[in-house]
Amino acid sequence: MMLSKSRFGLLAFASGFLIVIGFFLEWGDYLPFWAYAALLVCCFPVFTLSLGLWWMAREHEEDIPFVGY
Amino acid sequence: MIEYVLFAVFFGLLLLGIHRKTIARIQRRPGPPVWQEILHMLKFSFKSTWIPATASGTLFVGIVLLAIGIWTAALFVVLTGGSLLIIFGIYMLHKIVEHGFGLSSGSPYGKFGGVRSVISAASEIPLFVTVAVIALFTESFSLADITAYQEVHGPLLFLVPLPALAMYIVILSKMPSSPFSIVESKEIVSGYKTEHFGVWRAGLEVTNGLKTYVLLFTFLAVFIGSLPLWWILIGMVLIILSLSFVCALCPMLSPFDTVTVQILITAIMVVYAGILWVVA
Amino acid sequence: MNIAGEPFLVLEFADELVYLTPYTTTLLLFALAFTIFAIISRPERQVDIVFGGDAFYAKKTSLSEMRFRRFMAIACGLASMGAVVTGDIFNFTLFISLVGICNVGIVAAVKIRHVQEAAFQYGIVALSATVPLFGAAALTAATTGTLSMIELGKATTAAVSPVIKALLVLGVMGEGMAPFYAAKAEMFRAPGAPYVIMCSLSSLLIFLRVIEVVLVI
Repeated sequence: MMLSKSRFGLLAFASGFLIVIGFFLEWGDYLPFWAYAALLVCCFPVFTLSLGLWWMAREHEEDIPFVGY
Repeated sequence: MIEYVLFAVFFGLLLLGIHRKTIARIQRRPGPPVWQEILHMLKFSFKSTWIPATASGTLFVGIVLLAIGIWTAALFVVLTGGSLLIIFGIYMLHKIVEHGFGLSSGSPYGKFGGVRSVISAASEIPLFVTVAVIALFTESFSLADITAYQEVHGPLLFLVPLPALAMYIVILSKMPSSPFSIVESKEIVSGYKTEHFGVWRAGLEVTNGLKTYVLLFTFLAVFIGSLPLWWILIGMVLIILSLSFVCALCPMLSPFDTVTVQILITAIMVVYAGILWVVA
Repeated sequence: MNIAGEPFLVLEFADELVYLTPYTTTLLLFALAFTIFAIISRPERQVDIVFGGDAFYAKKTSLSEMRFRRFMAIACGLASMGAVVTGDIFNFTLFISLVGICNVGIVAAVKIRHVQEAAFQYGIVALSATVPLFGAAALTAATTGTLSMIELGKATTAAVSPVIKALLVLGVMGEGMAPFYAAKAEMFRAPGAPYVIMCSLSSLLIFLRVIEVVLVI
């Protein structure tokens, strides 16, 4: 169901790397602004989530939803 | 630009913290510190996380990514002076995001939050009427043209106060513990966010920060005009303070009353826009 | 007047027309994302509490029901994508009526009484809304001689009368019931998340699109 922690780490690293590369390319005028914006819209959510999951994803059985106290 | 996105997330969360603190002080409680929402986001990222057994996995995760994605896009649209219609569209699509959050987990509470979010769809129409009235004056939907118009004619806030009020109510209906916040009210635990815990919730907090920043920024850009960043930030804090007073002093309405009040506001705004259109 | 940004891509296939502006691209990508979710996601299993006790059960969507609903949800996603990008008034109305049919189809396989009743009532409204919808397209063609939104947006063609625009909006409201689709709320209580979400998503997208269409023509 869920990916393993190391996969999330890889995902976080890859998306973070793309964001940084994009930042420098746009800074040096190699990348148009709209492409950088599109890159950020795609990579920023992935980076945010995978960073946290790399830290704290649980790797065993799922639980059922909360059904009341 | 990534630095601006991060700044918007943290400042938006700080605004929500100020909102909570002010409500608490008005109600004579000590309240949490103003950076509590930022701490929440960090805390949730370090919580054990999984996907509930009954959830629709892809949707459960994908909706968080989409939520952050659309508000990042909205931030870009606002900063580059893009079309106000896109902001309006993204604001409407946030409804689907709430719906998706609520329905993806299989939890009955989330489902009620999602269904409530759908029945209160009338709350978005005042925003469209605002957009339409502004377009009547400025003859453009682009934010850049709207700010340019205001440099010549003065702030739209004084020219068309009623749409400003309508947009204020639209922002109010998205604030936590507002009179209209039926989608996350406590009788259904946390509404649509009930089942999104841990890292998913941290993603939701990031969305909330961005959303607050974008909505308040849009309000200032549309009704006051282009301001230096410092004045924008001060303006945001002032708007948040006024919103906190409304939230602290008004009771939460029942779902039925919320929809009735929202439809009433919508009707008034449509009539107002109709009159303006006929006169113009 | 600058409505939703300049179109950056115009595709013409004889009398068919597809064009993308920043606004329609945003809507298209959103519809695409949800269609992909509908394709690859397994349906949610709705948890319900047994009344008067602390037991609970999860409603399961059977395989045959899931197949049918997934097909309808994908069709609905494709129809709303078509409605969002098309630059032709008739195709627009056609896609919108397709959205109306698919919305009923998505919940048609659910064997719950109140869901079926809501879907039936909604279906009747959607059916009767096709008259103003296609009427508006026909009247546009009759009064201006063209159905292309780009042509209609130019000052050279005859102006589209506000009555025709009102008919178009009325038709879309009937098909999608947005924004007053409270009548559809019962439909959303059907279990099986990515599919029921397509109902509200498609209504919202066609509502957002018709605003642009009415402003452009």
